[in-house]
Amino acid sequence: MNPIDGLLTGFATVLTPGNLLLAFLGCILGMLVGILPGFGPAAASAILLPVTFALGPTGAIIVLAAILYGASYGGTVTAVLLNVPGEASSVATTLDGYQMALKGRAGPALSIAAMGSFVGCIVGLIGFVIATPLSKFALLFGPPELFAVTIFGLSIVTGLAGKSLRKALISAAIGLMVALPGLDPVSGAPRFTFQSPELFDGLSFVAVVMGLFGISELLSTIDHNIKSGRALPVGKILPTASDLKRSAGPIGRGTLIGFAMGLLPGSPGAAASFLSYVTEKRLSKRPDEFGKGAVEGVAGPETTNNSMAISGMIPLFALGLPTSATTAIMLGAFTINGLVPGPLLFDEHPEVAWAIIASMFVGNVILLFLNIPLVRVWVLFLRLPYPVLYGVVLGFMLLGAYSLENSIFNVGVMLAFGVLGYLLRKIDVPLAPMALTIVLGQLMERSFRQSLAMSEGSPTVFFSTPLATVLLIIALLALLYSGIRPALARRTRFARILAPKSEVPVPANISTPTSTDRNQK
Amino acid sequence: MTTLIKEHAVEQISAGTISKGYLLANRIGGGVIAGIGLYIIQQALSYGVLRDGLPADGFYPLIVGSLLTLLGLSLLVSAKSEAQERGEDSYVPERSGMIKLAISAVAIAGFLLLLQPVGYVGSMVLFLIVVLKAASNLRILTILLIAVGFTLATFYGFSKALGVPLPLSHLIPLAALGF
Repeated sequence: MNPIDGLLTGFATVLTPGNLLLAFLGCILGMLVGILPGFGPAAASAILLPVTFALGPTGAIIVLAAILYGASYGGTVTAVLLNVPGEASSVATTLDGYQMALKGRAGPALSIAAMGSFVGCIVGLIGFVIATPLSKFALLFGPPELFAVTIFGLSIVTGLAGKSLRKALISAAIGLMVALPGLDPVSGAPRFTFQSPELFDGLSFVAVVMGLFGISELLSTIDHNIKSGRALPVGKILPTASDLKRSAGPIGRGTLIGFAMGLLPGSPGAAASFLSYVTEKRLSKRPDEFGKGAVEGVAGPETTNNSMAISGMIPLFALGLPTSATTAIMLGAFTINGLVPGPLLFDEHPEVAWAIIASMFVGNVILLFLNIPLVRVWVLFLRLPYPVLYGVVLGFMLLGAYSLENSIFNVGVMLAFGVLGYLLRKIDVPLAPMALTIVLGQLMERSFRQSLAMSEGSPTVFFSTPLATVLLIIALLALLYSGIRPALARRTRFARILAPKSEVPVPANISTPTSTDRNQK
Repeated sequence: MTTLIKEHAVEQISAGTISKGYLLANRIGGGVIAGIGLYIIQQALSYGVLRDGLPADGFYPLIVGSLLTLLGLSLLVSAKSEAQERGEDSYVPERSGMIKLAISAVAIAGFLLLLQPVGYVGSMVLFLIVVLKAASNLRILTILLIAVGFTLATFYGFSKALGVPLPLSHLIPLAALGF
């Protein structure tokens, strides 16, 4: 069956009242769970998996896929309104999404996120249909290639630095430290666990980011006298024409970045959205607006997240290879329903396979029409007096952290990182690099040591395949460029200051700095 | 600590004026980070750095610890240049804000201690009453309504709808109500 015929057959199956209702319910359930702090697509899929048992194979996968992207959008809502990332890949959205909310532009932020998510998913699905053979590319990635990818990820850190590169590096190093506790990724021996069984699995990433971003934000706001008025200003709901124009490029680029990253096995979601964020910051004509409410900082990462979520399913469908926790849960759902994902799925159960793909198209349309009007509902939260929001959100986060593993330990982790994040904010250490390197750290160490184990200690393993060589060279160049870029920028600014005066007369009340003035500073 | 910061704080943050409190905070931060880095290096060496010519359990922590030590020392030494650029979040907390934070900390500690014996419903209601009373000037009846409403909604939403078990109370009155 060729892809076009398969897709048309799939649409015929999905566009029935029963399956449409299932897709709709999946979107709603996914969003409601995804909004809860600490619950992302993986947790939502796991919690709601039993709901699918009685639905049959097609219905079950339709609901689960809808839950997946519904939960992804739910995480965006908390990231924008509360600065609490619902999942790893929403962290980048908090950087500018929350700043937009502080300026009364939560509505446009959520709307742009919904539109970007929709475009990312739809284009990702088109790529899914056309580019399924590309999934074989994923099999070429071994430890040396993955190590090169993580090195490339480190170069993103400098793009997340604010005014101080030193403090960004400190944040990144702390993130690498946070990834240390747990079992050694190669030998399996406990490391930095302080004889505590709770630490054998390492620190929960969700609890850590909830604390770093959510709790620290709450503490930073409540530590001064806040008025009892509205939590945040409420402005227009829909984006302006300028917002849409500025978002077009980031949405296009985000789709490509997310699609490519989603194909990689073990691809860290947070890294992809940060990569999109930094790319947009570097390409923007207004880089100074990033971190202060630039709409591009929401459009790019959100599109990347959703495009990646779709392309991450390609290895699952085509090769039976899950590339993330969420796709692993989907694999479980396939197995429970007697389906075996992989090359034979399209041969043995083409009606099921294409129905699932068609349902993703339909589900994303449902989500778009659901989300745009719902922006008004989400924004109602902003009308609450901040002290009430503070108490309720804090309560939600305590509950969310406890629910991760029914463990008070995770609540303690969240609170500890909340205090850490609060203290780091006081000395202007950015938190975003830390979130990135927590994700990259373990993968970097594991791939590095596995590579050397494969080659019995020979470092030439990192150049053993053309793919590994090319990736490592690109990664090292990116790292080098990131390191010298701030110095180049300073040199350029300095050169502009020293440049001969222009022929345009300078008004008398403006003085240009002299060397004496500079020395006195 | 608060007194120390107050003694060193300069209230105005204007071009060319370095806040001594901010400078001190940067130096303390750098020192703590460097100290943690040294501890990690010490632990890394105890795990072993190389084994049969291959990186052992302590290899990667040694790199991380070294980075932290170097960067922490760098901040400690260069704090003055860092203090020239001060961000919005770096202000000294107000006294009333510190009191709210302290009360929140006590409320959270109380919540965690009471969670198992009193159960989720009882401990969350108490937590919200304390926090909302400290952070807002709402009437007590409003606070009670918010606390009870939120707690019951989340209790039923998580435990019944989502199947996430929450601790139940060992106290007879609450246990009799199913909480």
